[in-house]
Amino acid sequence: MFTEAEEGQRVCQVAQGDRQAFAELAAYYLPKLEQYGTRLSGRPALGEDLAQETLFQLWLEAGRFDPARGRLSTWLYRIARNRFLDQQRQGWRWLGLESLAGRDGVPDPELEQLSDAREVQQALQRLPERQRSALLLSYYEGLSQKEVAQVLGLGLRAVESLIVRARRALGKTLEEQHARTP
Amino acid sequence: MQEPHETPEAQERLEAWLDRYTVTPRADLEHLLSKLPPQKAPERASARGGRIGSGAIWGGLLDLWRPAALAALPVLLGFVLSSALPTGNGDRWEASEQWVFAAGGEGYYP
Repeated sequence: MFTEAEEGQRVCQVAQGDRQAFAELAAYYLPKLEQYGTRLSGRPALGEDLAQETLFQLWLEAGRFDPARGRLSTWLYRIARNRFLDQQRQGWRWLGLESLAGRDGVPDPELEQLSDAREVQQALQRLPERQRSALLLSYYEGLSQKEVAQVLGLGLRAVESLIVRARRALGKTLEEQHARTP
Repeated sequence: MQEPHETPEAQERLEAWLDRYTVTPRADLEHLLSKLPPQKAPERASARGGRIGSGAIWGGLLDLWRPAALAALPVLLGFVLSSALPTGNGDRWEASEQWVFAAGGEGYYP
């Protein structure tokens, strides 16, 4: 975990081509971005790709990071989410998903073994993307509502409402699923 | 009236479900570092580092000539045209004669 000042310093070093500073930031953010990407997309392979692409963008465009506009984490989650939305619009074509085990409609084998996790994953995928992102960022990534608002480009009230609606919808879906399966 | 999924117990169950959805990161940092694309060239100023005095100042000054030349172009064009075109009051008839001949006309003396 870095302080804001440490993060800012490392981002400046990355902008100057410092691979060591990049490696330190990547070691911290790679797993976090992968977890977010996996839960957002519902596919581990995509989560991995989203995390790598996001960090490549940090490497290439670190000079564009403005600490006055928020923390590095919110900037990176925002990039990851935008890439997810872009790829979703493009139908995942450029990732070559044909070769991936976890392509559309085919559950990931690891998740097959974890039925609870799969149920939550499926229920999350039924949420509208904004609700899903708001819930994931606040619950799993530990972002404050203000930071979630920065990632999503929304106001604080809208984020509060998104999280409440997401929890309500998710709870309802999971309760119904469990009521059906004894 | 609370819905069944909004009771405190249901909220606890929801938290428990969410906690069970764990994701094990698989991405390899070394692999990521080995695939880093080349960075864009650093700032021009630093590329000129070692030039006289501050590289940033010289780089900035050298970058100014292009927009300055573009901005001055209409002024220069206006000056050239105003000196070549006839004024209509007869005080620069030589210039107007040259212009009319240059344009393929028969020429006249105003």
